Amino acid sequence: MRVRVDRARCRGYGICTSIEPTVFALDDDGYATTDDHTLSPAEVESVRRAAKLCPERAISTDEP
Amino acid sequence: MLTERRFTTILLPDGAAVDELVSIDDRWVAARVMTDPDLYGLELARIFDRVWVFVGHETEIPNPGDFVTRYIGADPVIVARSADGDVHVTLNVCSHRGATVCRVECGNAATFRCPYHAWVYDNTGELLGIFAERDAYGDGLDKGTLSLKRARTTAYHGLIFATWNPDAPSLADHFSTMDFYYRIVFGLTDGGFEVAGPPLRWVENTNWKFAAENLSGDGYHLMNVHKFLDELGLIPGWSDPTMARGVTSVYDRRTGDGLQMAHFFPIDTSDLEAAMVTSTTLFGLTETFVPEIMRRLSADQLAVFAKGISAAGTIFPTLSYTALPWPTGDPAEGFSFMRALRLAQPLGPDRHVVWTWPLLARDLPGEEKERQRRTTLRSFGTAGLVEQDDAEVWSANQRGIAGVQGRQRRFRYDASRPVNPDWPGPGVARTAFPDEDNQLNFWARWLELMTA
Repeated sequence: MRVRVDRARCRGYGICTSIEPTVFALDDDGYATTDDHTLSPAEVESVRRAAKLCPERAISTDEP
Repeated sequence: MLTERRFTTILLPDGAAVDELVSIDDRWVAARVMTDPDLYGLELARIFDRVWVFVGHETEIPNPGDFVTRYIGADPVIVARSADGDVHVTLNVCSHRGATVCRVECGNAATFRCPYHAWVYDNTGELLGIFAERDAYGDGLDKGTLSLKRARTTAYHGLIFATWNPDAPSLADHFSTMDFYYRIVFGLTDGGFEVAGPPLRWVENTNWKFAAENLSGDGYHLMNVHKFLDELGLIPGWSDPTMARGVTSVYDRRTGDGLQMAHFFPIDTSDLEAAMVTSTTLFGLTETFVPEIMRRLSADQLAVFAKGISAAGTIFPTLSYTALPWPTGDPAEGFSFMRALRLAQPLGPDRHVVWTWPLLARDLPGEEKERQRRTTLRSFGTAGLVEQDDAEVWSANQRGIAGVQGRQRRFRYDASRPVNPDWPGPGVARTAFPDEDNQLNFWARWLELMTA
């Protein structure tokens, strides 16, 4: 599974980075980024949770 | 007894002392307790901020993420079930600038976002994220200290109560006396009860205490205010005072709770098993519930239940309930059952919001559930005939004491009966024509909280 952050939607709550810091990071201005790596099984669950809790629905995955 | 208590003297702006507004010994209550804005403000702080308050039924929020918004006094709260299944009650007030965070009345959500500056909380009250946190606050804020304020929360026979008071006794201790009765009313089946749907709600132009104290034990008005039940032939004999001589009133001095039980349809209990079939059916359940009721109730509880009961009461301060064999209104259908919760949420000194939840035994056959739902709604809630009767009279009370002369009057509670020494249950019980002892006990608890 892969994850994307819609940078145009992100409004800098930092919820995703607090849930899964190995997948999400904040840039210098405090908005979320992610690299494009294939998620480990352990990361999949926390990324789903981050996607669910993102107030702007800015996180998407290529698998439901 | 209350006369032994020591009061703190609190003076109202005109010099009247709060502890002189009620006389338990002389059995009267000053009418201004129903009209005074300063007393209303004191009630919010001294009663609603200190006691367990009903905020909802567990079956309103069955799934993780489900929530409803409610009130403790005038404070808005979110009642939510978190992912782990626990129920949380949090102050619906943003830790940033005080806006109500959640502005809808029910739904399912993992997070709540404040409409003002978009701070985001989870359904346990934790502050999850702050909008543009780095732009706004640089290195950020200590979010752990900025949760929504959390209330102590406990579910009891499906009823969810919450309190802000860290020193309040546990709910189990609080209800240790009255559980004898609440188990009969709310906890006698394995499957429990469920709400029929979202609560009905309307505003009544009366002080909340007219409803709460009445439902704690005013059996006296029933024969008069609701005499249509007799006049229309729905409950023959209802308005005949001699029919009301066997009503048992019980109160708990400690909590202020009171209820009345009547044996309108007395059952011979010499054969307990046979009596249980009749009393269970009379109590809105089916014969299949008998084994679990006999397992769940003690011998003393069964002695009360098996005689066939109707029950109604108030859990202080604002939650009332009815559990009564009741006419459907359709002569072909005859009797069914009316089981409802009724909350008198204060909305100022002369208004309250009435919330009504019909309660149905979860394991009841669907057809009987529907019959009970309709029976309950015909009597309680927005279209309830019994409710309209009461609202009409209590509005007359409120109008009657709105003037300068009216608000200087005293309400009387002189009717008293001897305590029933043979009653098998706890609390202070009387079995006779309806008394005014229960209501006076409501006022004793009110006075204690307002002055102690």
